[in-house]
Amino acid sequence: MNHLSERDLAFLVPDEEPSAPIREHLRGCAVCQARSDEIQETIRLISTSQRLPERGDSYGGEVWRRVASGLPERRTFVFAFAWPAFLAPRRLAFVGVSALVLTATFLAGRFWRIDRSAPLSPAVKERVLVVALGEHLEHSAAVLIELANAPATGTVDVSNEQARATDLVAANRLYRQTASQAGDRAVSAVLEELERVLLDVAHGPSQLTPADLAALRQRIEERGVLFKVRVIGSNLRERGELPGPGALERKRT
Amino acid sequence: MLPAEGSDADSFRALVEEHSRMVFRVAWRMTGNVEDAEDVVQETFLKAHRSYDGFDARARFGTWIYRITVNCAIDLLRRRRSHRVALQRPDDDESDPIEALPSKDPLPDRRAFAGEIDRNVASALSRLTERERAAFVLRHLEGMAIEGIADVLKIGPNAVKQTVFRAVQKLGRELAPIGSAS
Repeated sequence: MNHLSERDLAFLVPDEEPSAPIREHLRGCAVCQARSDEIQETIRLISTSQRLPERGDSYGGEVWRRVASGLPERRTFVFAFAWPAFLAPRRLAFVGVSALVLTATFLAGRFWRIDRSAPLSPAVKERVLVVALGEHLEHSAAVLIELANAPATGTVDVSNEQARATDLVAANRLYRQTASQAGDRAVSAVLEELERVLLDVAHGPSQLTPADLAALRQRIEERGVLFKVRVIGSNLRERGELPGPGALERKRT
Repeated sequence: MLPAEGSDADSFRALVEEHSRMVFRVAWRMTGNVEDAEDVVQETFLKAHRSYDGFDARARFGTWIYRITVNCAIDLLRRRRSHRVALQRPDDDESDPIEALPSKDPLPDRRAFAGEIDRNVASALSRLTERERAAFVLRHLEGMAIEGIADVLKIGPNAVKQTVFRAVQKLGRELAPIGSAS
């Protein structure tokens, strides 16, 4: 008679019914049954000594608080990896001068009126791109926050937000294309999500009923776009390359 | 900024709260130490948070978090091994070994004997490689099927069986004298 292998016997879990062939074999083979009993005894000895310390119903909440307190340093979902990579000089060089100049010129022209004929060094291009993108994200977040906080009683006039969203869509598209050309799919994906929301606002009615507003808020919430946008902006600020939130408004006044 | 707003943050929080106890259980079984287990729990969710956005099959979050937990525990055990710090047995204040014994011996003897068993079991487990310990825990303490273990450890089914076998063989050698005595 062929006996069961030690590998098969070692894989049997105590108090769990073995497969039919193994069960049949054990029933008719005293040698294998004895060896199986021996192994099972060892496993039982370990499992009974390994008695789990109690963790009550509130444990999940306690873990969350501990984890949340560690998130500011480690937060950012994919951006912790994707964003520095997106901004790395090597990657930026790869993007190609045309995309950077196009983006930098477009956005710098919108905000600073720089001399467009002057050549930009790579460091300046990067700086312009970072600052301009930071401002773009702050503008976008501001629009989303205003929509999220609009009073849900009666019809709401969002024509102002709509006009701003229309402007932001064009800039967003340039950033998204730049990220895409750089091969940074994670950043590109977030900008794509942001663009969809901005397009929804831009192409939607300017007078929203409470139901329209609720549906729009749900679309914003569903993908966590606002959160992701804020994470990118926060990462840029963390690198010391952007002023704090609200600085844009202060600069304008 | 804490991720305390937005639907992603809320859903992640819900997942943390739902799976914390399972993660702790696996972490404790892997490390045999409450403090290390708590470290693994925290590291597991922080790692999960970092890659959460790329996780597109949330219906199988449990499997995904299981894998992260085991890998975090393996990393911790490797660090411990590299620092040559012996693993300690489970904390006395959180487990009462006396209840495991059906014996009617006088109380001090039972307690001493139970403590001896725990120490030997912890010592035997600590002599396994990280992978052997993981495979043993997943199979014999978590009751996981071969496919699940293969998925978590990223090895083939044959390698799973072989690893469990090696673990059981080593544990059997270490614990045979106790098994016959108890």
